[in-house]
Amino acid sequence: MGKTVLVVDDSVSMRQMVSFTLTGAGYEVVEAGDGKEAVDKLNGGAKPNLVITDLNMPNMDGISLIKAIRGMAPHKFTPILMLTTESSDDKKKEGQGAGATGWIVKPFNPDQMLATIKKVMPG
Amino acid sequence: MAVDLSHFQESFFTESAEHVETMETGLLELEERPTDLDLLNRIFRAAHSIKGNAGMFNLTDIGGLTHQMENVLDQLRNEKMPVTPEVIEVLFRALDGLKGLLEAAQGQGEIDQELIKKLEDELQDCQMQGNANSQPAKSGVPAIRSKSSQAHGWRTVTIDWVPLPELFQRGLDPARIFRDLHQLGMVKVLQVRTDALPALPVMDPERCYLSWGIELETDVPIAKVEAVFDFVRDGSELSIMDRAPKKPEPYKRVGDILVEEGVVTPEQVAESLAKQKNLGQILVEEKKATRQQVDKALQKQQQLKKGETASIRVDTDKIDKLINLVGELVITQSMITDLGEKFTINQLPILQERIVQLERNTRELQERVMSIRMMPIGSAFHRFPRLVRDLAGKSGKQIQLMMSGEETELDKTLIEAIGDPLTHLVRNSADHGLEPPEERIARGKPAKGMIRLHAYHDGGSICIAVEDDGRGLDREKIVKKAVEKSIIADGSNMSDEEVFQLIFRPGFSTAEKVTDVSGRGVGMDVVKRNIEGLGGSVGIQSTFGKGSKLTLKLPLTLAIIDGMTVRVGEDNYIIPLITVTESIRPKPHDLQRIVGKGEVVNLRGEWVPMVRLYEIFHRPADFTDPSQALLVIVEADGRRVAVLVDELTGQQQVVIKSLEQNYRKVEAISGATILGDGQVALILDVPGLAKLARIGHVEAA
Repeated sequence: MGKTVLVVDDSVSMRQMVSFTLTGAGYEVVEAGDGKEAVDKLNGGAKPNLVITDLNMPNMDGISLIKAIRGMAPHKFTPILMLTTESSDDKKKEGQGAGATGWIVKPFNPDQMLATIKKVMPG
Repeated sequence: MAVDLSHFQESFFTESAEHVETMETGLLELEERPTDLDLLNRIFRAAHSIKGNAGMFNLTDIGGLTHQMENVLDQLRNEKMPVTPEVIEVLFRALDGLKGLLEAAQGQGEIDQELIKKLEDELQDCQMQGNANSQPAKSGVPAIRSKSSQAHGWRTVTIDWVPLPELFQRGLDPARIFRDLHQLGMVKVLQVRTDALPALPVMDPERCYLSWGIELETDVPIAKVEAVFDFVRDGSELSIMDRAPKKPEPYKRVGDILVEEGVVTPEQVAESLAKQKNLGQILVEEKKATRQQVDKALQKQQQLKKGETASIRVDTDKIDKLINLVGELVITQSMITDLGEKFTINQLPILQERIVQLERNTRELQERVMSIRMMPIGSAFHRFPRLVRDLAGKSGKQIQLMMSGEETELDKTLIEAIGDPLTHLVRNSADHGLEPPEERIARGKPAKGMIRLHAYHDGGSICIAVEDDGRGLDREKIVKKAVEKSIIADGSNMSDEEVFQLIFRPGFSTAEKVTDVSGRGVGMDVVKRNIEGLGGSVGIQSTFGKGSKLTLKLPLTLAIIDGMTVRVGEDNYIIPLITVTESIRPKPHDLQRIVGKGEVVNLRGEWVPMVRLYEIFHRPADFTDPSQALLVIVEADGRRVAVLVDELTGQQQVVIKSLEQNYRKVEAISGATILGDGQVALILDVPGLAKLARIGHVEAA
C-alpha cells in the first residue's frame, strides 16, 4: 500500500502496539513521542498520509498538535485521528474544533483501529 | 485479522511503574503546592495513561481504579474541588492499591478485591463532593434523528446529510463516506443539493456547500450505517431513517442478569462470589496438599514469573551504537581470518595491528554492554519521600528528606539489591536517629530533623550516604554493651569507627533495648551482610548528639572487576584493584611475629597484619621470606592487611565466575576467572582475608 502513518504518543507501549499493528497491515510508520517531536518531523519533511495522535502528552499536547498541523499548508487536509478515552466527550469536541478528523476510543482492538484508519485514509 | 498484543505487556508494566512513580512524587509535591496546576496535570496524565493502556490489555481492575483516580484528579485540576490533605490521602491509598493490582497482574501476590472496592468507593465519595460543589456540564450527545423498528433483512435506509462547512479542514472527505456506504449495500439514490452554493467570487474553495440525500439498500444493522458518519456527525445535520432490528444486548454476566431479573440482590451475588476459593485453598482443605507445599509452589510460580519478565529499558541510541560496534568487530574478525589463510611472517606487523584493533573493539563493546545495565540510582531513591512522610506521620516527628546524586549510574541488579538495606537505614534514621521536635528544640536544634541521601562516584565504586542530624551514637554505651555481651574484652584501644562497627555484629544488634543503647534498631547485621554480599562495605561515622552518617560503598557492577594479577608459585590470583593501596618489599627488621596476633609488618610506624597466601591455600611458593618477595597492602572494612605474593604480573579487567555456583564456597576466595592465556586465576576475597588476619587480633583483645 505504501501509505505512511505518523503515530504520536508519549507512551512507548502504546506506540509499540499501534506501530506493530500498522506495520502488520502494510503501512509505513513514523513515530513521535510528543506533539513537539511530531511537528519537528513534519517540518523536517515527513509526509504522512494520516496522523494518529494521543491527546495527553508532555511538551505539546494533541490538541495543540492538531492545530499546528492544520496550520501547515502541506498537511492542511491530512486526516488526523486522535486517541481518546470514552469518558472524554468534551475532548472529542475540542479535537474536532481544532481540526481532528476522527478519533479512536481507548481501549481499542487492532481490528477496530485498522477499520477506523481505512475509513479516513485518503485514496 | 487477530493481532496478538500480549507481548507488549512487559512495556506496559515498565511504563506503569514510571507513571506510578510520577504520581507518587507528584502527590508529595502537591502537599506543598496544592494549587500547582502543572503538577496536577502531570499527575492526571500519569493516571490517564495507565488507565488507557490497561484497557488495551484487558486489565479491567487497573483500568477501573485508575479511572476513579483520574476522575478525582480531573475535578481537582478543573478546580471543582480544592486540594485538601484528605483528598491527597485518599489518592495515596488508591495509589498503593494500584501498585498492588499491578503486582498482581504480573503474578506477584493476589488482588484484595475488598480493598479495591473500598478504594473505589472512597474515590467516588470524593467525586460526589466535587459534583456537589458544581454541577458538571453534561456533554450532550449530538442529536441523531434516527428511527428504528424491529424489521429485519433487506430494506431501504434513507439518509439526509447536510455536512458541516469545515469538513475539508478536518481532513474529511464526503467521497470516502459514500465509498463506505457502498460497502454496506447498494446506494440507490444519491441526490446532490447545490442550492447553498454561493456566487463564485465569494466562494471559499475549502468549504463544503453541498448536501446530500441518499437511499441505501442494505441488510446491515443500523449501527453500522450510523458508524459511517461517526466523525462527521458533530456540526452536521444528519437523519437516518430505518426499520432495522435493535442492537443485540451486550454481553452480561450471570450475576448481573439475575440481579436485573430480581432473582437475587447484588449483595447476595457479592456474598456468593466471596465464597469462590482459589485452587490452593481447595487442595489444602481437601488435604491433597499441605499449606507449605502450596506456598512453596506459589513462590516458585512467582520466581518463574519474575525470571520471565525481568527486562530493562534501553535507549535505542545505545543499541544502535552496539550494533555498529558489532559490525566493526565482524569486519576486524574477517580481516584477521583473511590474513590467517595466507600468512607469512613478514606480515606480522599487520597482524599485530589488527589484533590491537580487535582489542579496542572488544573493550569498547564490553564498556557499552556494561552501560546498558547501568541505571541512575534515582530509581532506588524514589520510594523514600513517601516512606519518610509516612514515618514522620506515625512518629509525630518532623522530617525533611534531602536527596542528591540521583543521576549517579549503577548496575541494575545492584540498584534492586540495595533497595532494602537503604530502606532499613532510612527507617532507622527516622525511627531512632532523629529526636522528637521537643527534644530537638531542647538541644538547640531546629524542630525539623534532616535525613540526607547522597550518592556519588568514588573512584571505581559508588557511595551512598545516609546521614541524619539526630542523636548520634553513644560510644560509651556501645562499648559497655559489647563488653556485657562478651563481644569485646574492652574498648579502650579501639577507634571510634571500630566501636561503631560493633552495631553491625549479629549478637549485638538483636539484643534487647538496643535502641536505648545506640539509637539504632534491629537488623543492622543484615544490612552489613547484604552489602558485603554485593562486594561492598558499610562505613559509619557519628558524633554523639550531632548525628550519624552511614556510607554504603559498592562496586559499579557485579560482573566485572579491575584486578591486579599476582603469582604465588605456579598459581595466579586476582586482587580487586580498588582494595590495593600499595606494594612494598619489606626490610627484615620491619617484620615481627607478635604472640597471639600473628605476623605483622611495620608500615611507616603502623603495624599491619600479614597473611601468607601459600600458607592459607597450602600451595608451594617461590619465596617464603617476605624481604625477598612482595607484600601487597590491601584495605577492606577500614583495615589494612599485607598479602605476601611472589610477584605482580599485571593488571586487567576480569569477568567474575562464581565458585559457589560451580563448585562451593571457599574461604578467602570470592570467585574465579580465566586469564588471557587460558589459565584459571582465583579472585581473592579481601574482606575475607582481612577477617582471617583479624581473628588473631580479636582473640588477643
